[in-house]
Amino acid sequence: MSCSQKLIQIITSNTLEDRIKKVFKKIGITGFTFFNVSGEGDSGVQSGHFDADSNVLFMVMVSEEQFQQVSEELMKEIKKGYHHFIFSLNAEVMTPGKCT
Amino acid sequence: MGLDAILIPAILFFALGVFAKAIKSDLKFPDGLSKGLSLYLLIAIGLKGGAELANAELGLAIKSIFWAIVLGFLTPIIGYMILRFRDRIDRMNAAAITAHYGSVSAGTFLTAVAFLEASGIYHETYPIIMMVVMETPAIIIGLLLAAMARRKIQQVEDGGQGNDDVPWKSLLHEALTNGSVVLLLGAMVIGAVASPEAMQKVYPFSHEIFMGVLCLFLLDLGMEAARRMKSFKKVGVTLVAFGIIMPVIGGLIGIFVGATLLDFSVGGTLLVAILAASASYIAVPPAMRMGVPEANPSYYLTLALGVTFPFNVLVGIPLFYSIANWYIG
Repeated sequence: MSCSQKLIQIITSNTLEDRIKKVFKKIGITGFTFFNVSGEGDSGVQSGHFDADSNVLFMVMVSEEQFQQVSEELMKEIKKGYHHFIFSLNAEVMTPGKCT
Repeated sequence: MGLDAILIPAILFFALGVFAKAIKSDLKFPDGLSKGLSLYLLIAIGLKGGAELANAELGLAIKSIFWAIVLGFLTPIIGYMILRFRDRIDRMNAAAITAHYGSVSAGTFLTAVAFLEASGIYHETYPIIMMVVMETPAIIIGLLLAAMARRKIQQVEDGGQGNDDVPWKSLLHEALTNGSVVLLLGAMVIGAVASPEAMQKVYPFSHEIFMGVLCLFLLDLGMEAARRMKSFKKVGVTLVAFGIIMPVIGGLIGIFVGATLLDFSVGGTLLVAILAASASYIAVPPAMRMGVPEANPSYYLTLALGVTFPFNVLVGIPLFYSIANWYIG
């Protein structure tokens, strides 16, 4: 049995990892995945050499209601100047028991 | 002092790293190796410094710490005034960039030590403890400048009082417990309290392989610096010029502090000059990403790694040595 959810992906500096986790915690999201990534963009080269140029990519599957809450909280962060790159996709969750 | 002064393996490996990237070589270090190398270098310099500081004069050590704190606070303020002159750079970027110049680059410092040791020039060990101390004041001053700038910007925008949402507690905790500070300080304490016989056992680790590891580290940093140089266009002429002018100003202040206020030898004075001239690329950038998120990280990382670090390694070290030699006579 599958269900439709939103997959939110957030690329941010690993220095800001805890800020994202705090947002998830505030909303009650208990499960997410993140991994180290490299790349290049507005913040320059992110080669993963030093803490300041290492990025992480968060992937989190949320319900429509949680999606709104996460978006609002993350927009507040962006308004403060934090460089988070956020995007979402419509997704089908296949694993039984993972539909909230 | 001629070109031969910088013809030491460590500096030449740095140049090789830059060259490798310039010719688009596929030379690459395995993930995590450079972090491992920098951990080793901090332990080795800490052990060496600690063993020698065990026999140091307490008065001079305290005096060195005092001047290190002064340098850590003073250099970012001078840098901020230069960047803000005629509104050239906006307040937030100016605050974040100058914080890097108040802190230190352990890589540049170690290259200066290699330069002195290769030439057989004596140097005091107090600058090592100054390096530990100088990591933090610059972060504090950078955050304060940014907080003041934020207040000013918000007052202009909405006439409000401004709302500083700086996580001071976690930032100060991070500044004081930063991995490199803990490791360097810890290794110094171990070097100071361990018996000379026991220290002899780790001599090959702390002394004999040191220069070889430094060569590897600088080869990697050379490649990293060259990668940053590609961003010069984005950063702009003003900031690139600042990345060269600021270390010269810092180096001259460092020479005055080392030679006149601390009465160090030419070698010790060069190390103080390098501390004041270098820009941090390990401890300060994460603090600025968290505490001054409005600033653009590509500016301060390009300046610290792509401009100031190569300038200090290739030009600053021999230049400040010559000036210190002339000044002390």
